[in-house]
Amino acid sequence: MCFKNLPIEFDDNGRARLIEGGRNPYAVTVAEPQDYVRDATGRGSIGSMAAPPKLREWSIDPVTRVAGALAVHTVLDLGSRQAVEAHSMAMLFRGYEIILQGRDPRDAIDISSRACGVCGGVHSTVSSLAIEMAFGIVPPPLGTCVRNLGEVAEMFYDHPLHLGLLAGPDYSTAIVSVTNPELVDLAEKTPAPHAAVHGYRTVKDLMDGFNPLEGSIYLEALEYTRVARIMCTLMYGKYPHPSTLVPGGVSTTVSTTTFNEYYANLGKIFDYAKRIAGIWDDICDFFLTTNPSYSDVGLRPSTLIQTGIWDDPEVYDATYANIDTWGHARFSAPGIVKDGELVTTKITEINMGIEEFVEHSYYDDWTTSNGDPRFTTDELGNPLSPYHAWNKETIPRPEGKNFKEKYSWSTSPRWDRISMETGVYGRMWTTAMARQLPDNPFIEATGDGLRILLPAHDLPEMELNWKIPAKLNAFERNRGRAYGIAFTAAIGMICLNQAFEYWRKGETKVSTPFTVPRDERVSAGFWEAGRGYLTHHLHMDGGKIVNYQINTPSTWNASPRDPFGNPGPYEEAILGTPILESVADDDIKGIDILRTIRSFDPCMPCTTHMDTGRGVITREVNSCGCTLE
Amino acid sequence: MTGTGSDRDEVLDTLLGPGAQVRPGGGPQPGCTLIGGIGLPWLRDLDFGTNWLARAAELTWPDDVVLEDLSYSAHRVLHRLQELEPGRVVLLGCMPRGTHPAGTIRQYRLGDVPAPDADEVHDRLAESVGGIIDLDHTIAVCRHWGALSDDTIVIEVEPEDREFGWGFSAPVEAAVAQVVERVRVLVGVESESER
Repeated sequence: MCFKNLPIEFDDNGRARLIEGGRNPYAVTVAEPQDYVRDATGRGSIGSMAAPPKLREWSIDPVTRVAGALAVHTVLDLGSRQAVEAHSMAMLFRGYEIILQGRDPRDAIDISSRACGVCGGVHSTVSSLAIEMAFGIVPPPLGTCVRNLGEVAEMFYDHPLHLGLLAGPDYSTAIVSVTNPELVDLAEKTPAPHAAVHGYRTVKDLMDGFNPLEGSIYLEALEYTRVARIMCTLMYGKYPHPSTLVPGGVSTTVSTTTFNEYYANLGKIFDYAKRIAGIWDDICDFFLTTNPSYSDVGLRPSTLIQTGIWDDPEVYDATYANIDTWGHARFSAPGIVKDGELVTTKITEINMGIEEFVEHSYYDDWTTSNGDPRFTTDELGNPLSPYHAWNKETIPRPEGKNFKEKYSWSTSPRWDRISMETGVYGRMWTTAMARQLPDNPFIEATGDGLRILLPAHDLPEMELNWKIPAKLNAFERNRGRAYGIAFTAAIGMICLNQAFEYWRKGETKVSTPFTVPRDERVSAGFWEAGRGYLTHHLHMDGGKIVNYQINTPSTWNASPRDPFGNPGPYEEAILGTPILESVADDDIKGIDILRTIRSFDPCMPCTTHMDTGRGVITREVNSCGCTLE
Repeated sequence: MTGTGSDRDEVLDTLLGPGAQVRPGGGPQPGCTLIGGIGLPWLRDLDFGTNWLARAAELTWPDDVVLEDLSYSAHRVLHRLQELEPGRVVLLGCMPRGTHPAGTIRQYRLGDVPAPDADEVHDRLAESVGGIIDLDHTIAVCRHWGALSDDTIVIEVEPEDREFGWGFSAPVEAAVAQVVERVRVLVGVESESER
């Protein structure tokens, strides 16, 4: 029984049903928001000038070195030196769901791709999956292979840029010498354990490597975004917005040359993956060993949601009826981890547990104004909440802008009414625990981690072992992401071998013809972005989209409080984070809060408004917006 | 843009516009003159760079002149410039500075304006990798790593209409031909008005 909070039970045959009783089984009782300042002092509210002297409001708007516009409001207790309040604010509405209403469903592939300037391919892909399910078509095996390879390549853009350019500088000499100069001195005397692999003699050398613009790790990451783009372009025609993804496969003209070129670049990734895993092992272990309190930076429960990615071309049939079967066969397992325990790997159970709330978001609650929900079950008879994506409507309402009412354009997705985190480490986590990987020479799921064999390139063949961390904190998120490059590269090798094999057998078709159905269809795409969970829920009729709902990883991670008063993952991770800077209170830079936020690899919508604290700057940019609607 | 006039087909006409000039294979060579347009798709005047290029492609240009749409993130433009190794670059786009009336053309040589400091370059790069397309980001990042020389010419037009949609506002439309004239003079082509 994977549900504790939703009114769902399972019969003796394992079929889900609604628990009897009550007129509104999915009723929501809104909780009064909790407030640390109010509880502790009985005076004022957050932001009040009457706040006690040891409490300091500390807000970041915008949070830099994240994709898009994120603002974070915190309250620091300088007595206990920890963050005691947190609000995560997504700052822009993009309206993709509204743009897509009434359009040909095929448009969703190209339009939804524009939700993100990093991972447009994942949106195009998941849109293709949703359309395939609606149209009743399935790609030829090589088409699935090409799609898998494109998605492997896309991760090689996301992960290096985050580790090298966005999160990496938080551990650079340039930053640490300001916040914790004693650590730089110690790092200079500390040999780097993986020096033989990555070539950096001391931990200080690694910190130097993370220095912005000039550090060698920073620059190498920038260069590897080029390699990733080359690989993506081979499979998708272009990047970040693919031109060849279609329902039923791809329109890419592939040949053995295509795959050979891909392999030549994948070899470079093998070596990069070996180095970067050692680099992050050494950085993380240095901090965690030097001061164990770093393990509380960004700490939150090990509660994760993953939708799975990379289909087995022999098993994937694009039907909802068989979704648990082909989901089970994915190279990266879908799954729910609650407090460190894997409670399901079935996509149907993931799907029926999903709800989105807007109590503290700039939207109207569609369940109160639109009568009965469209869908009370999925096509298999599994119960669905009125707050489920297939029932959701996007009704923007930017009113009540305060922390008690509404403060974010992100909704609050929940599974079984629990705040869930997602990320590359999450999919490694579910894959490791599920132990359902098909036989292959490159990855073994051990139950408590992953054993990854990376072939030789310039560096010799190497086995990497990633262990599920005891604590899910900022350091382990980054370490997991570093190992995620190796995990992804190994999957790339598996998929590439499959592609060569299909080619050898003469199975060279990459797409399936289709017609757009005119009758009513309901479907969903379940896939993952670099940052984790990704779903597109589609309802079409008369050949047009009736409703299209996009839910992204950063919508989960950046979510504001839900109606039950539970904070979203960023907020939860900030709460209790210790301030470990060795400087006077007035000189605190908030680096531990920033490390916390950036460890999630946030992907927010484009910036329209920046409040610097000294004034307001307004500017317009054109960018990634995959967090939002 | 490669190919020959005789190779034209319906696809090229659709992509480049009827009669647009294309040139035979081999691709651009190091030392070429690159005219790069930077635009924000479907945002009217802000898409100036891209749409100006589409119109310019209908004209005849010297063999060593390359017209390219650079409407992508700064670091990607950096990588493209490193591959292309142009001898000279002209960058075009609409930038809302609010300092001049809509349609005003501002032209400057990169070496005549101060380079941003390292912190600013880092911030601009950090935004760019998330997908932001911005002429200033492109200039800052590419200049920092030496991919744009001091001789690079930047031509900006002040926009009027920044809403979603296709086509330019009247003041920006009026600037198109003037920008064509300026660019053709810069690359040594006899201007239309002198013919």
